[in-house]
Amino acid sequence: MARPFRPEVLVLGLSLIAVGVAWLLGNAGRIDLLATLRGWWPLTLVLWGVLELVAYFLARDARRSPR
Amino acid sequence: MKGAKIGLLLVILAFGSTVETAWRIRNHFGPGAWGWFTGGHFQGPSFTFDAQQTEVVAASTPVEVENAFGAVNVSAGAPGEVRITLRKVVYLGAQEKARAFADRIQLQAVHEGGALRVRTNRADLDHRLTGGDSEADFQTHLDVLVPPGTAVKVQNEHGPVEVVDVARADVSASFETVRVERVAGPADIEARHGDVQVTGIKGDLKLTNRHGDVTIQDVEGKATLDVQHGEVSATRVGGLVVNGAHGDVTAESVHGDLDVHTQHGAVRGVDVTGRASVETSFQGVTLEKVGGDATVHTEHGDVSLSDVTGAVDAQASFDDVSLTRVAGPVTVAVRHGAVRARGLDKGARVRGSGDEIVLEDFRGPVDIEAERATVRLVPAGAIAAPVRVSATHGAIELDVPAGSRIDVQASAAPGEVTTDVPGLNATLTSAGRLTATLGGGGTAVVLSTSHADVRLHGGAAVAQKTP
Repeated sequence: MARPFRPEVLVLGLSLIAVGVAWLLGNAGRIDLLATLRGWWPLTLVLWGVLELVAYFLARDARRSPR
Repeated sequence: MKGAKIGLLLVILAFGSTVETAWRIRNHFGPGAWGWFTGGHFQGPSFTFDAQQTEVVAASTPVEVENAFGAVNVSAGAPGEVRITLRKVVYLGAQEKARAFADRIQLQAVHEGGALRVRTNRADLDHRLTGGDSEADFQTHLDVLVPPGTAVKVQNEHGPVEVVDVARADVSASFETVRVERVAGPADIEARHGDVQVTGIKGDLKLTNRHGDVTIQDVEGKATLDVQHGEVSATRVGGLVVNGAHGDVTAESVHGDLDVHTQHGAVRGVDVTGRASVETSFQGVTLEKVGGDATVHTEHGDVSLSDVTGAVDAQASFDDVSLTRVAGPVTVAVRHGAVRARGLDKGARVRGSGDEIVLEDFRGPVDIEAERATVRLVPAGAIAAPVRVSATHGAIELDVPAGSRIDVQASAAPGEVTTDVPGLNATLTSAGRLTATLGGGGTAVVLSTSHADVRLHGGAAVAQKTP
């Protein structure tokens, strides 16, 4: 049986990747780390919300079309 | 909602709050240990580029330097010209980009209002100063050589300042050290969050520092310091005024008056040619070799004064007062502390409670009120001035040297009056009361206590203590 889609796992993974990349670029002097984090961190909430909606609709479709 | 979702939401919100807080405070701190996070100021690869400019100026033209995020060094150079070196440090990953950015950083030397004003166009490039973003971090370091005898004004933020060999100095700086040396006239320094070192000022010195230690030496004029959070050390100054809040004050070789008003700081003054006035709390006061009067008020701290030429007015609480070799009259008030004095030439007026009062080798009139305190008096020679002691719950002991001509009135109620003074002619003796004369009388000695005894000592014991 396939594991259900869990948005929070995806959000956590993508957020960690994003913060790590930003940190690397900050250490390399390519970006201002704090300014970048400050400008983009709310995107985490937006992304999570979108994924929650996707998960909801996927779960609803699964209930309506039993195998 | 599952617990994992709630936990993740809290983590994200906490992370966002931390970032927002760091963003708001980033411009209030210089680049320090947390610089990597609070914006990465001056972190990563950097490239340095120099620019030079020389301006011809008339004699005695004042020079004003304005800068931020970089050092300012001003010193004497050749007559008739101001030579400026701007060192630009750009924090970008590629040298080409750094050079292109550095080319936009311009040195500006403008003759305005009879002065030469030196600055950069940093404000046009660094939008951080107005709360915005910047294309790159960069530092601007200015080295300025001015003609000898030039009055210099420096305003620098987030960078060290050094001014040497000028006619007068007016410095405002923050978040780094300030060093001013060899100024032919007055100096006015305002610093924040950094140590200040001043040496060799021919005129007066006015100095303000909010957070940081202050060290001054060889100031021929009067030094007026306002140091709120930092220690003060002054050596060889022509008068010193210190207003502070938290930090010790040390002054040595003050050729004038010493005035210290502070809190939560110990004060030590050595070799003051004028008068000394000290007010502090929660710490002690030590003064040695004062050429004038000494006035000391402290709460919850001890007082130690020695070799004072003028009068002494000392007030203390919850600690002791110690006086040694005072030439002028002494006034002491102590609550919950002892008074110990030796070598008072013009007597003392003492109000004390809670501990002993001991005066040794004193001359002149003595007037003592003691509460819950014993009193011990050892004159330096024959008693020739009135001695009055009023005590409660404490014994009184008076040594009477040979040659004293005194009228004694002693009472102890309840208590005893005892004497072994040879030649004392008692006219009234009763329980707890003695009226007597010595040497034909003349000088009043009035001793009274309650709930303790009065003892008069004489003869060999006194002779040994007063050679």
